[in-house]
Amino acid sequence: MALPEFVNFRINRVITHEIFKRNEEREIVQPLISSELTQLDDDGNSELAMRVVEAVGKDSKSVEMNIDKTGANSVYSYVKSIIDNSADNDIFIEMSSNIAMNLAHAQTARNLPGGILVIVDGTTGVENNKYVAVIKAELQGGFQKAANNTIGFVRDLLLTPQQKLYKIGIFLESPVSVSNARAFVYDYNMSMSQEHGMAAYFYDNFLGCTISHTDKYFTNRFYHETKNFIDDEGIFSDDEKFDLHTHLYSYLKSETATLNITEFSNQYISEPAKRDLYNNHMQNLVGEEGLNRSITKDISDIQTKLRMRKVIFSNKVKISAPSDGFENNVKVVEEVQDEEGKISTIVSIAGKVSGLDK
Amino acid sequence: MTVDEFTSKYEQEKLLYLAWGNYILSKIKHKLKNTSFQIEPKVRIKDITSLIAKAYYRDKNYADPYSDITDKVGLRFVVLLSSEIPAINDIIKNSTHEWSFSKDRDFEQERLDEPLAFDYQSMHYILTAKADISFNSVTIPTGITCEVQIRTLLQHAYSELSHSRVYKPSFDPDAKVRRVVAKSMALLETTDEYFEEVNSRMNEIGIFKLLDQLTALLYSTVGSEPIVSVKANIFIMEVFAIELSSDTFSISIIEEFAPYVKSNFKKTFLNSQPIIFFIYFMIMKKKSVLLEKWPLTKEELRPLFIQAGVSVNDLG
Repeated sequence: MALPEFVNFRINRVITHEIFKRNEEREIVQPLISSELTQLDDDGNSELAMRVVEAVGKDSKSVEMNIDKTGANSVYSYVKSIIDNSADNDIFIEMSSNIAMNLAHAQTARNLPGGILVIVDGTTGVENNKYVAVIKAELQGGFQKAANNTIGFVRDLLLTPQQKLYKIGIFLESPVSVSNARAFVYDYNMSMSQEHGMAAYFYDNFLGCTISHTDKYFTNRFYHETKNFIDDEGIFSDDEKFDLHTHLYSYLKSETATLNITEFSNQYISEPAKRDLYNNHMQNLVGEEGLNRSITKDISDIQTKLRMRKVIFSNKVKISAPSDGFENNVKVVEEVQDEEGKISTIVSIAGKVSGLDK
Repeated sequence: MTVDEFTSKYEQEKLLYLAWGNYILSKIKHKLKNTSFQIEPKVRIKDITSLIAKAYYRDKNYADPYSDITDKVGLRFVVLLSSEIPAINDIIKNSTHEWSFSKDRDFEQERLDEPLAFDYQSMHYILTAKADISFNSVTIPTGITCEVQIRTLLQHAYSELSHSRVYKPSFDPDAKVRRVVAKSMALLETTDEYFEEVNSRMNEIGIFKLLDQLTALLYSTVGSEPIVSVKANIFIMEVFAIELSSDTFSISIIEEFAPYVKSNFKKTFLNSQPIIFFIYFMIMKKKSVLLEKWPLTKEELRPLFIQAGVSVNDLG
C-alpha cells in the first residue's frame, strides 16, 4: 500500500521570528528576526511534529495546492535554497528571515493579526524527502500553573492544539524532479466560504500557491463515486441509501468551501466498518490519493445535477424537485401495504398541480 | 577437619558462595528473557546447622566434608511445563567457559532406568567455577560449587510434600504412605502430559500463532529479542479478532511498516510490542474501526497516528 507522505516525520531545525500587524498608516512594522536556531527538547519536538502532522497529514483538513510563484524572492525560492543547502545553518537562518519578510509584506490588511512564524525543516516519508514547513501561529491567552496551587495568566501561548490559531504551508521535495515538488496548506479559514478571502493572503500572496485545477475534477469524482458507493449492492438498506443521497446533496451544496472524505463519512456513515470501506474505496481506488485530504469544492460541472433531485419508485415513477428546500417540498408520509401485499407510498407535495412537463 | 574448623571456614566464605549463586542466577535469567517462572528463583545458602548435620551426623562418610558437600549454595528454577526445562539445561551446558557442570540427578534418565518407580523428580546440576570471577565487588574463587535445580511446578509440589513429611527424616516410613506418595507422583506425571497438551493446543489457536508471527517479525525488525507482554498483546488482539482474520490483513502486508516500527521502537509501550504492526495497519486501513473498538485510552493512539503520518483531530 502507498504510505502517507508524512509517515516518519522528523524535525531537523527550527527557527522562530515574530511578525506584527500593520501600523495605523498600514505600514509594515519591522518583524523581530532571530539569528539563532530554536532548540527544542525531545518533548517539544514531538509536540511540534504532532501539530504539523495533525494539520497536514493524511485525512487532515489541509489542501494540496499548486506552487505558482517560483521566481526570485518567492517563498518557494527560499524554501528550495534551504532544501538544497540542508547542511548550512547560515542559509537556513537567512532564508527563514526572508520568508518572514515576505509574510510581513503579504499581510496588507490591518485586521490581520501578528504572530510567531515558525520555520521547520527535516525529512519525511518512505524516501526521507526533505521538507520545509512554514507555520504562522497566533498568540493566545491562557493560564499557567504557578506555585502554591495558584495560577497565573500568560498572554503569549502559541501552537496549542487549538487549530484555528495556526496556519501551515509545507513544501515537500520530490524524489523525481524539482517541478514535482508538492505543497500542502492548512488554514482553518480555507474551509469556510465566507472566510475564503481571509485565507488568500496566506496561501496565495504569501506562499505563492494556487488552488489546484484538479479540484474540479476531484469534486466530480467525489460526487459520482460516492453516489455509486451508496447504491452498491449489499452495503446500505434502502432507507440508509435515501438518507445518504440526501446528505450527499446537502454536503455538496453547503456553505463549506472544501470537501473531505473522512469528514463526510464521519458525519453521515454511522457504522465504523462501512465508514472505513468508503474511505478506502474513495482514497485508494477512486482518488489515487487525491482525496487523502480536503479539496477545494468546485461544483461548476455538476451544478445542473445538483439543482434537481429525483425520487424513483419501484414501478419507475419518478418525482423530481429542486434540491433547495427538497425536504420541505416533498415528504414521504408512509408506506402502506394492501391485503394482496402490494406496497404503495403516500407522498405529500407542498404545492398543487400546475401543469404537465412536455 | 573439626566441626569448629568447618564452622569458621564456612562463616568466612559464606559471602563467596552467595555471590557465586547470584552470578549464575543473573547469567541464566539474562539469557531467558521471555520465560516466566512460577516461583521467582532465589539463591539460598545452607545454614551452618544443617551443614554440620549433613557433614558429620548423617552417615555420609565424607573424606573431606567441606569440599565434598557441593550444595552449600543452591538455586532453583520452577517452570510450569516440562517442555520449558530444556532451555535452561541448554544455557547451563553451553556456558562452559565460565563453569564446568556435572549432572547429579536427571529425572528423564531416572525414568528410563527405573520405569516402575514414581519418586522425587528434578534436574540437579553442580556448577563449578572454572576461573576466578569478579562479581559484586568480591572475587569468586575457582573451584567453588553451586547446586542448580530445575523442576516443574508439579514436581515442586511433590517435593514439598515428600520433603516435609516423608523424605527427610531418617526413618523408614510406612509402606502405605509410600504407596500413596508414589501414586500422587504418577498422577502428577500424567497431569504434566495434559498440561503440555493444553499448551500445544493453545499454540495451534490462531491468535497465539499470529502473536508468534508478529513477535518473530518484531525480532527480525529490531534485531534483538523483544520483551513481549503476551497478556497486553492478546488483550488487544481479542478485541480485533474479526479484523485479524479478515483477508485484507496479512503478515506480508505489514512487513512494509518495518522501518517505522524500528525507528519508533520503544518510544511508547505499544511501540515496543509486536501488536504495533497491526495497529499501524489499522491506522492506514481501518481507522474508524480502530477508534471505535480500541480498548485502552485513545490518547495512547495519538503518537502512533502521528508516526504513521495520519491526522487524527477527533479521537472520538
